[in-house]
Amino acid sequence: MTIIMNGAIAVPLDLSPLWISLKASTLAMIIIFFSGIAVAYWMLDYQGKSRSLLEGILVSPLIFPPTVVGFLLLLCFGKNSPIGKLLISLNFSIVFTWYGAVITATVVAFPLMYRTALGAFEQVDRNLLAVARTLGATEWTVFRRIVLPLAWPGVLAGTVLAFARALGEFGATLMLAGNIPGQTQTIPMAIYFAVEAGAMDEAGFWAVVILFISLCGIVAVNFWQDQSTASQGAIAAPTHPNPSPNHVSELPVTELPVTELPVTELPITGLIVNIQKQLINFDLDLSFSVAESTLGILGGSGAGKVCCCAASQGWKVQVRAKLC
Amino acid sequence: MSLRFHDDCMKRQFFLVLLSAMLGSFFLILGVQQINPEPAQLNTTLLVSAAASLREVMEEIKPSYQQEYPNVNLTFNFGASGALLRQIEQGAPADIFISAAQHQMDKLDQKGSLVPGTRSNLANNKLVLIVPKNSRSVSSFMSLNQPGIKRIAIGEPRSVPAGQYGEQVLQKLNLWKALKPKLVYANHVRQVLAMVESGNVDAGLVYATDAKISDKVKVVVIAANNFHSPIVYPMAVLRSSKNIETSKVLAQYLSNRETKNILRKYGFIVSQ
Repeated sequence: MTIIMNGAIAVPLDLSPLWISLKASTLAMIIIFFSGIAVAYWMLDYQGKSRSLLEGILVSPLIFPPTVVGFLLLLCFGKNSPIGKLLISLNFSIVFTWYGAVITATVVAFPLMYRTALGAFEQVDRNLLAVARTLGATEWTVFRRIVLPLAWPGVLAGTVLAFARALGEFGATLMLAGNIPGQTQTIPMAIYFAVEAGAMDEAGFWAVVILFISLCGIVAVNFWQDQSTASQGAIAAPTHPNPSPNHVSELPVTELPVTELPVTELPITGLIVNIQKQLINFDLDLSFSVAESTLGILGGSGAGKVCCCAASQGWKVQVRAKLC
Repeated sequence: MSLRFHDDCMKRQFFLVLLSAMLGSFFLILGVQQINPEPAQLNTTLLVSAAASLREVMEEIKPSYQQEYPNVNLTFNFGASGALLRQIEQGAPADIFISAAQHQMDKLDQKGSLVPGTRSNLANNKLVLIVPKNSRSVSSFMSLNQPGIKRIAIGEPRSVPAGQYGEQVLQKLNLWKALKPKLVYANHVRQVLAMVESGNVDAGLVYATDAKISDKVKVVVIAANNFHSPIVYPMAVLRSSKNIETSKVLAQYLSNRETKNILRKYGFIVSQ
């Protein structure tokens, strides 16, 4: 079975467990990414009576022993269950197939994504969502443009955690998907059966592979999160309000040249604004036009509201302002 | 909110508190063990690592043995013989090993892990092809090849003896290559039985004695003896045992007439 001997680690001839593991956990991760976000966002606003019960059910695969999850899934999808019988009539099977591996990985890793995403959503300032709604943003826009960008680091962390968990899933997968080399045998399964068979060098190889993949993912996310926290002030300000106001309010907006660009299309009536101004932390680049309607400008301190008003009035800007 | 200790002194204090709490709980555990030690070891406890297929037999032998030797506490560890072999190799505190194949026992013998002169053959068995009770599609080994048969359960050949024997039979019948994509590998023979019982696989290869204890499966065909190496259950006392003399007595007990009758009752083949 083994071709290259290298101390306690040997590269096995059959690398199928790696592909099966990656395939199943990637697919599970994609499913979890969307379903986890959807459920977490829904639970964010749900305050019904059964909230704690629902919460418990959603998180339960994390606490249950893998054998319980495997057993329940087997009851659910087995040939004697209603779902199993329905699938048989469609000439489709979950038990002892690759789909079983995807299903168990999804079920077991889902709570990690759900909990992390919910936590990230809860951190988002509710006022911002209310502001967006008063301005007429649809729920979808509120979610896509405000909640998701602000909660993104948490969502990303949840996704990677879920992937790592899906990759490591063993007990329930063994029960539902079985151990079929080349079809359902994942890396953890390959490790287990290699140890049982006394092929320690093969088990060592797979252990190193899975450690490497999992660590890579988590290190990458940590690195990315550090990066984004460090540069958040600079990147976040122009697109959405700066999350650390005291950091920004101390900023002196020093005198810098304001260039009002020549307006190419002459207005009939209304206000056309086209401003570009270099501020300390970012470039203010605004262009919009309003006709016969009331204009409201919202943003955190240092976002450039006053600059905008001032420039549109033709004032020379040297602002040290505090707006709430 | 991030926990950030700007004060270096505070950080050190925090760690000291944490460390002392850890040490404290550690000593507490030790203390509890000191105060409340296990009941005095008047009894000897013997651990028998036995092939999964022997479960019912061993559990039936236990009460009568305990009656005769009340001072000896008999415990079992059932599993695939390959897995049990790994455990023993890694230092599991087993006193007696009963394998479902000579191969695993030979390995221990070669390493000198057995007490010389204690190795004997307990019983023999047969390999059978089973299907769920209401299944009609399988009538022989050859019919496993038909497309309607999607999944066949078999012990993992590297660690489960029933899987080794099964592989030999399928090889002999020239079916191994063709059936390989349908095979689900189980980690012990009783798992094969459970898979067939639940109907999640179409067929499985187990010992005749396993098929006998379940009323949810039926035997389709018994594999011919010459298609696989003899299915033997060798038993031996392990050198690492702390109670070699008591273990020898137990090994003798397991070879007596009463035990043989129980083995026969469950379908094992026992020489007179």
